[in-house]
Amino acid sequence: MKKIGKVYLNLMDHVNTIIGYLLALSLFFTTMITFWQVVSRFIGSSLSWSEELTRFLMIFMIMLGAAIAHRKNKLISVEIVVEQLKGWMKEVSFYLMHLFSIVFFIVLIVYGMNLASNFTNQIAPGTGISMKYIYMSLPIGGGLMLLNSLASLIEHWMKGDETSC
Amino acid sequence: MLIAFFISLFVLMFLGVPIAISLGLSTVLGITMHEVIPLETVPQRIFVSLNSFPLMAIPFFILAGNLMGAGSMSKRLVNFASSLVGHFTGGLAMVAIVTSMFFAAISGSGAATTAAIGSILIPAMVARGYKIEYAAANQAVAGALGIIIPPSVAMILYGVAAEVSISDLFIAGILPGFLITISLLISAFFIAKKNGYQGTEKQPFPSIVKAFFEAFFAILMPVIVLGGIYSGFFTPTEASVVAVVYALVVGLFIYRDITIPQLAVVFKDSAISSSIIMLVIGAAGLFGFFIGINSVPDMIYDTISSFITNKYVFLLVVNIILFFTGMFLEGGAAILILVPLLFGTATNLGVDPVHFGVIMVVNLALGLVTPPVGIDLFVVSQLTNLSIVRIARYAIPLILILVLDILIITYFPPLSTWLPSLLK
Repeated sequence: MKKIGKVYLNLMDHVNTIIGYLLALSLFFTTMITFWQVVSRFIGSSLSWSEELTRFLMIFMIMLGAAIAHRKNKLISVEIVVEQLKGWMKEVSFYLMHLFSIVFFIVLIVYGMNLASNFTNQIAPGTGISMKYIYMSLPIGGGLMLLNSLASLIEHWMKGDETSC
Repeated sequence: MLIAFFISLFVLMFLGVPIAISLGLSTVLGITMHEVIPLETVPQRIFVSLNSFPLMAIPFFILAGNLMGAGSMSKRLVNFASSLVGHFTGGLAMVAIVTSMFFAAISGSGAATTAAIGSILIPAMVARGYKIEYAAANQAVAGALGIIIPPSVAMILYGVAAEVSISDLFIAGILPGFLITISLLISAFFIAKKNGYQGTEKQPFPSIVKAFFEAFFAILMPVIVLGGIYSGFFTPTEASVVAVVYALVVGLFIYRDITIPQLAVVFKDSAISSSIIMLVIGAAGLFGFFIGINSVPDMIYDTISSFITNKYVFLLVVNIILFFTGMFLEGGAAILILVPLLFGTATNLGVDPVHFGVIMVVNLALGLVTPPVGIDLFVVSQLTNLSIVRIARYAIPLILILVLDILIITYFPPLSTWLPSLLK
């Protein structure tokens, strides 16, 4: 059981490293495209696709970045009450926090997929990308956040096991 | 149903569930009890709130601030400010305030400003005999200028949530920002006088000129960014991306103090910091939509207007609400939750939307330094290894000064509305 946990954590570390590179790249490209858009506006040839593409890249960046932030416990939250808790109450609040988060991620995945499939025939006007793929950013992000929630839970469980031994 | 919705929101938030997820999940609960709306609305509203070009200014300003912090720009700004005001009584405390103002004119974030300037100046102040608690408190409060002096991430959030022109908000923030800067400088002088904090040696004119030229490209940055926005040359988003490219060019080719591996880390960290804020924006959009279709803002207006009809009394109540919200909630999240709730009432009572934005932003700037939850306090506490409680005690006089500033800004609207009207 522990072995599987370790393998999973290792796997998620790799996934998150890849996400980290994707994040840096997408921010780099949105910068370059937006800058090029500014330059081209002054030259006098406005681009039709650039703004749309940067918006879509940004939405993917947000959903991926949120997944990493969630793994590192960096999403903005009210910690003041939880910090006061001790012992089993603290444990319970930790599990509840992840449990509730996972419920929301499942909503995001299931209904996000439904939403995306509703847009199969719609095409973004500037870039010509099917809106289906753009809307997929939400279920993909939800899925990665769910996987990271599981990683945090497993890590916590494995640590707890070690201290009790 | 609405009661269940708000109770679930509070329970989730205080359980430590991330605010974005708390907002999302309580809306899911609200929607399931509401037969008409499908749950597909949840991902859709999140998407719609994020699919906005003005919002893209947020990652770019965060990135520009981080690039400045990574290179030597902040150090150069400190040197220049020291050469100017360092020799006054309480000089270094003033340097911290002035440099934070400059830095804030680029970064737009209180925590980034505090971290970048504090890491240089707090040790320098301690070396000159300043009490470390005071040095930390002074830096934390000066860092709060980050969200008042434009460009400001908090103002972008307000502008998007309330559908108010971000350029107008940026212009409106200038005079209140100066008011707060000057009041902090005066306080630094009197505190130094009382404690005998001497200034550094007065610099001869040539070395001021030298410091100016060494910091030239850093000083030019706010000029380009803000000048570009105010002259109508750039939109705020365009200005933000120009700031990034400018910081890249200066860091890589002129000062040559940013390396490529360092860049990859800065880009990744900036992307994550942006995602953290922007996930809340998405969820708050969903929240705002849900309370909107349930006419919650109207109910709030009806309730409030039944016993408050005077806008000045209302603004006092708003200030009190914001003060306590700021104690517990991160500023950006507070704006995104409170704007949909309070904005309608404010405009119905005749409060100028831009003025209301400035009031919200300065209050939440104060929230950065009020315990128990104040991000600037966390940053200086990490920098100095002092407990938040010890720093907070020294921050109290400075907090009182900010409260006074906020009352002036609230009850003297021209401070916020005069400049935008002038430039129209």
